[in-house]
Amino acid sequence: MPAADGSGARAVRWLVRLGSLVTLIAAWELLAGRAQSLLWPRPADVARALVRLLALPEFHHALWTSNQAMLLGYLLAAVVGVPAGILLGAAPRMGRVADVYLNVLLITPMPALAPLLVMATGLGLTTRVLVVWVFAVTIVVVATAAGVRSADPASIDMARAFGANRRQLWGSVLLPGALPAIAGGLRLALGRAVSGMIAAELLVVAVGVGRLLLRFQGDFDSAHAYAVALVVTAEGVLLAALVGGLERRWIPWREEAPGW
Amino acid sequence: MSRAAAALLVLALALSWPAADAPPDPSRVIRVAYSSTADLGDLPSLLAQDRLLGQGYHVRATFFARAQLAVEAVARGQADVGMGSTRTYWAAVARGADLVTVMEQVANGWSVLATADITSCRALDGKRLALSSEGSLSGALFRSYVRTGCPGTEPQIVIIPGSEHRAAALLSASVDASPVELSEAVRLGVKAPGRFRTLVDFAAAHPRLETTGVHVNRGWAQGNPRLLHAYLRALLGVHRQIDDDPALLAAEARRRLDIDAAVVSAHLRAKAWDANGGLTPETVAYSLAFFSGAETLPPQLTPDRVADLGPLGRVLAEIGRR
Repeated sequence: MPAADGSGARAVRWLVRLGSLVTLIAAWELLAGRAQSLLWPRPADVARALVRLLALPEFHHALWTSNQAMLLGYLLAAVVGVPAGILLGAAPRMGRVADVYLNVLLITPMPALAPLLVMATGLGLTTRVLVVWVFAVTIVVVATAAGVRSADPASIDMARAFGANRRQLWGSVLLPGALPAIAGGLRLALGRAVSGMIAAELLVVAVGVGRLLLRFQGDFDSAHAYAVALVVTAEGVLLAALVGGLERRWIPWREEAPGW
Repeated sequence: MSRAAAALLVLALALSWPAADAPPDPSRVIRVAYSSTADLGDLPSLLAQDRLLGQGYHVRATFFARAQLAVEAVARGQADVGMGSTRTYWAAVARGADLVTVMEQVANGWSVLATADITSCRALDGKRLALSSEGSLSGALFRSYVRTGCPGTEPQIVIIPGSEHRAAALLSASVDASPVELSEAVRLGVKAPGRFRTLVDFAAAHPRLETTGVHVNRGWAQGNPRLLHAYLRALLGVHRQIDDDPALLAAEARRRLDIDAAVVSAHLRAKAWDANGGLTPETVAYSLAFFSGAETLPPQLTPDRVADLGPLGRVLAEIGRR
């Protein structure tokens, strides 16, 4: 009865998830109640704030404004990052040189770059897209290059033995082998892009949800600030789940992605 | 090496090992929370720290990355004294925090800096104006300026957190105007001479507005009146010392914070540090009315909820007014 076993395991998994969520919320309620903090609201207050927030047209507009930069920055990271990763994976010497710059991009703190970005590209959408791109592109490049480099040597030898030319080798062995890593990189980059979206709005120019967050934090309205953070987190989780689903559908030979 | 020589070496090492400092007496410790990294406005309190050390007190200063964290630390009793924006501390009081302002930290030094072609309040219409956040002090000051000076004028508001980022935006012509603090106004004038003009000097327009203060947890203040008294007395002493010997401030600003003499001179001309502590019933009432009118604080706050003039009054009674 494999189907029944499968559904039973799924039910247990969901039960564990639900149980841990309830435990987490109960602990949060208990600790927040004791702490009496200005910055740590009770879950019930956050839930009420969330309901109010979701009814606000201003919030939906803010979410859309923020997501414009996130989507553009992420797509740009994918469009630039995947070919760049393939190139670096195929040319190890170039990869070693580029590693330095990738590390710089990954490590450099964004607050240090923010004034530079403002001076160079102003305060518009371009700057926010650039921040999202900086956050996301490194992961895509590194994952793609790693995927190309980790191609199975036996498969490469076999393809060559059957007379595969360079294009066939890439189309039949190297790229299909790298696709799971590329997809994993794109999934992780999505989380980075959401972080980049918020970083851009808190550090460079506050529009969208960043502007709302600043307003709520400035007024010590932590319930609404947490509600905004909750929506952004939920968005990130949903998008990652969506990419995970696409991975399963389009790359059926990949190993099971954790969690989804 | 003989055993005797080894024993002598161990003994010498043990004797030369620096003795650990004895922990300070908790009844003489004052924990001070700053809302950001130290700037010129904080310098008198840093000098007061040295004075207090000489009197046997121990001051622990913590520089928080965000103002809200400093306020939270004072509200929860993790710090005793908080330095920073009055509006921010009073916003916390409006949310139930038991905090009170006991002295002015730095006098109002805000102004609106605009590109030289903007010559009037009305000329801001349609121009890009940077604010740190909607509910901020700079936002409140600007809204009051437009309401009284040129009602109906609508600049494009751009929210840019961080004064250095707003300065970068002004320099790169990404915005046309912004409220700035005195230090930033001087620095921009030095970096880009002639490019910006002061559209309005809020120090002159609102001399009674308390923009920054010394704030305490009310419970701590009631339980530790001597510590608070010593702290305020030391701080006022430094304010008066700056009045008497302005060169001291310039030297210390250069030595401790690497701050330019031009910035220091501007603060001295503006009489940034009041010899009597600045805070009075009139300034508290004026500031509350101003913030409520600008809708950055709820109207139900009262002077006795946000300020306590008693500790400052007792210090002034002891050392005399100037």
